[in-house]
Amino acid sequence: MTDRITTITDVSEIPPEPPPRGAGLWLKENLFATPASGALSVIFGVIVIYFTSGAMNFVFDEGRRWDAITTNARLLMIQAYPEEQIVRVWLAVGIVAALLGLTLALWRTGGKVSPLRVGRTLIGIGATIAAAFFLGWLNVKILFSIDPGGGSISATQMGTAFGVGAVIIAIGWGITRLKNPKDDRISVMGLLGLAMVGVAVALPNLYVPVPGPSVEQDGIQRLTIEFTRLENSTVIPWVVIMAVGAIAYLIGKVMADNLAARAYEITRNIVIGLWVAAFPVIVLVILRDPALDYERIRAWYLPVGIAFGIVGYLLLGQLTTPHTNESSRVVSGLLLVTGILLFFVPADRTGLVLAVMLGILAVYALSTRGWVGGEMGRYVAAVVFALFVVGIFVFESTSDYSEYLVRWLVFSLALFALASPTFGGEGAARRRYLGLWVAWVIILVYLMVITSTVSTVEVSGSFFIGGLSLTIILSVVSLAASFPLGVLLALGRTSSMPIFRVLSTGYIEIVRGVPLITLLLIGFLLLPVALPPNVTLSGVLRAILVMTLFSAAYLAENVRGGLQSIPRGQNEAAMALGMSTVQMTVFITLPQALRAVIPAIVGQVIAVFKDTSLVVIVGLFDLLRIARNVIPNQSVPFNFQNATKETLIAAAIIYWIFTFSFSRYSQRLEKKLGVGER
Amino acid sequence: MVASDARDMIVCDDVKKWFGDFQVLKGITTTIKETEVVIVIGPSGSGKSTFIRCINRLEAHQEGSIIVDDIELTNDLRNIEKIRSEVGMVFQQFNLFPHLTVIDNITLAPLWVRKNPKAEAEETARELLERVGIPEQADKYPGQLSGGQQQRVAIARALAMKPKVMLFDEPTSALDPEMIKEVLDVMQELAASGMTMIVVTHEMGFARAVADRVLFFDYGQIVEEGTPEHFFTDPSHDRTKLFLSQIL
Repeated sequence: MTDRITTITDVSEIPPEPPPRGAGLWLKENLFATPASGALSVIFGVIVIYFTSGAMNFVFDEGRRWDAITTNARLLMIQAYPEEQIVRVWLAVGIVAALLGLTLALWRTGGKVSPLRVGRTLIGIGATIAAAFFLGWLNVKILFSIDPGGGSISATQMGTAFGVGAVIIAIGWGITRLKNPKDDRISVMGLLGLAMVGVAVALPNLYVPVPGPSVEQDGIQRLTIEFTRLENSTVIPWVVIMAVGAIAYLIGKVMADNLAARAYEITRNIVIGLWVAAFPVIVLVILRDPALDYERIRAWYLPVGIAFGIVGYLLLGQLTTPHTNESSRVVSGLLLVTGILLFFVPADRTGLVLAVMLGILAVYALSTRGWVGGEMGRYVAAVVFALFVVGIFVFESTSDYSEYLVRWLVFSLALFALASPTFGGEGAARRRYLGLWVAWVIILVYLMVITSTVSTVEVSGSFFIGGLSLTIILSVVSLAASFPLGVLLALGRTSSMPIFRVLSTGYIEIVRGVPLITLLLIGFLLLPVALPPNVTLSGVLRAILVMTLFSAAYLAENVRGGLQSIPRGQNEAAMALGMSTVQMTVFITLPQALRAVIPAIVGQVIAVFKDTSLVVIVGLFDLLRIARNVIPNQSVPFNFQNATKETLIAAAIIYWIFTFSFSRYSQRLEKKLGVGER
Repeated sequence: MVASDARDMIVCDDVKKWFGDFQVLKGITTTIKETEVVIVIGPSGSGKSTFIRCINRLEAHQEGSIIVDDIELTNDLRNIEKIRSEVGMVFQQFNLFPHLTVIDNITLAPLWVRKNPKAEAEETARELLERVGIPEQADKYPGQLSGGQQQRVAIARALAMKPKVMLFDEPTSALDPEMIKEVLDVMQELAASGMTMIVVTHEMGFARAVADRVLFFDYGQIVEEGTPEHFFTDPSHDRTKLFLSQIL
């Protein structure tokens, strides 16, 4: 057996060789590995050629009315927003650009790429441009009859494309030839900045198709398309906005690189707060320009806000101490019932109602301190409260919107009081909670003031803005509102209490069983009947309400899936530690559940964004309606009838840009939250 | 060791529990005194886990009474919350909160249930991490720790609420042999410091070393109880003898 063992006497390391490479090898391994995959590659290649050729010929066809889009770009974005107030729109876009710049910098977006990758990408782009134009010129028709030069792309155009493509390929190739091409050292954000500079330079020199004068040709009026430069009124604001974004990014970068950890954390939170505040401020204040009535503000809103702020502060200060568990529950319950019932009391009775409520609270407070005979005090309080409840139903509801401020404040105070044993505490926790109350009062008063005044922007139609802006407003508001509702429904459906379970399940199953169009129509026609007689909701609010209710049902099911994926041991551990059900849900169950269902939620967000196109049913002018109905119906001053194909393609591209950004962001979010890793 | 004048910490009187038609506890009567360490052993399905889960109301008993630290365990939420804040529990599957760091796991309940100030809660948490031997893991996530370390964090988390009683439901059953020792050492130190403990376990060596009393459960009843000397060397019941002969 010894002769079976071979001894290797001289083992010096064999120098490593580079792996086999080459385009031919790549093709062989990836596209033509087996005869079947080879056949598929060929078929697919043919399909690509056919489609590219057809698409290029479509785009450059003489009869295309791309000028319909360029002339109506403003219409698509903001619909009939008055020309003289357009500054507001630019201001809004500028604010978003600044915030975006700050966010990208503070969250350290964009890493580094290697010159090899940049170069290869450029080569790819150049080659694609050249190939596309070549295929377009080739004009591959169905059944493979080829008609070179017979389509919409002339030889000159193809030549120019080849030239441009060659230049780009050369640049790309040059970059790959730099020293150490594989080191990741080109900053992505730097490239983006370079691109923006390029755009800023190109914009004033860009030629876009616009309708020209119609000429007589062969006895028929023919429409012509001219190419002109973009107007300064478009170019300058865009350049300014890009500059603002870039400057904001640089400021953010400086902060990100130089701030200490704590200050960095605080700055990030401030930016998040700014984003949250930016939306209502932009929509309600900047774009809508409410006509503020300063007298009314001084006389009513401010005093009420301050009074509630102080009363709430004292009351919550009392309720957040750790030892008032039972009395806080009773007081909160009383407040909640009062808050709900107040919605049915007319304005002039509000003061009376509030006085009674305070009286009851005082009696109860005194009774717990033994000044008014303990039990007796509670009975008195209960009797007075019962009388008060009965008395309320004798009265009618109010119509003055500003009176609702008091109702909302009482309601909010009730919710805060209910949550105080769970979220209050000593020291810092308490200060935070009381601070939250004061901040909420300020926000509520601000929103009430802004929304209860008329806008000075005069637009015919039901809302002061339309187009893409309306789509965005509808989506953001309904998604933001449907989120808490959806979570509550999910918790209700999995609750151990039968009534919550039945109500939640009923709601979810009914709403999910009806198409959105039906719900919109129901909402539009039936809501005015269902609400109290003097309350009117504008078309947009009704659409938002319906979309919120719709989206909440689907969101609830997604969240429920997440809730059910959490092992029972988590809840048991939380309960064993003495946490209440609310605390357990907020700190343990929901964070884990929501993390698990991010893909489903993002899918929901994308769906809702596109479903907003259905509000055409209720008379609103969103992006799709303008693209499909408004522009192709124009005949004066330019005739864009039959431009539907072009406008629909434009609308599709705009939708795609947004939804693709959502899904890319969700991938990033999943990575950051460690979804899918244990 | 239990002082002779130690007060009754947990009094169970004829506790019965059913899961549907199946009776899992058939009248458990026992008293656990302060600082006593009681080890509960028995075959699976004998109701020992159910018994200790009844003590902090993770399961509800249908008949009989359980009185913890002079508070009766009923459906009254206030009693349940009070008892839960005095009774800490350590689970077989650790049940740490994976989305929070170790230190956040430990301070979560003291912050929000006891409303302790943040600095105090963090200081207590770090002291407890020292006590269980892993102070350097404070800022890691549970997923980054080994099983033994996770269980020790779970013990620290339960101790952070300063409980009067600690319940252990097979704390080392999910660990591999190398890590069992580290957890048992912590539990031994805890017992020596005077904590009232009820431990459901299969670690007989630990039972022998630390127990003041051993309970043997079978088919929902306490078949035998006694001191470890009596129990492991000269058990009275045949069933006990059979069980011990199979595992020792």
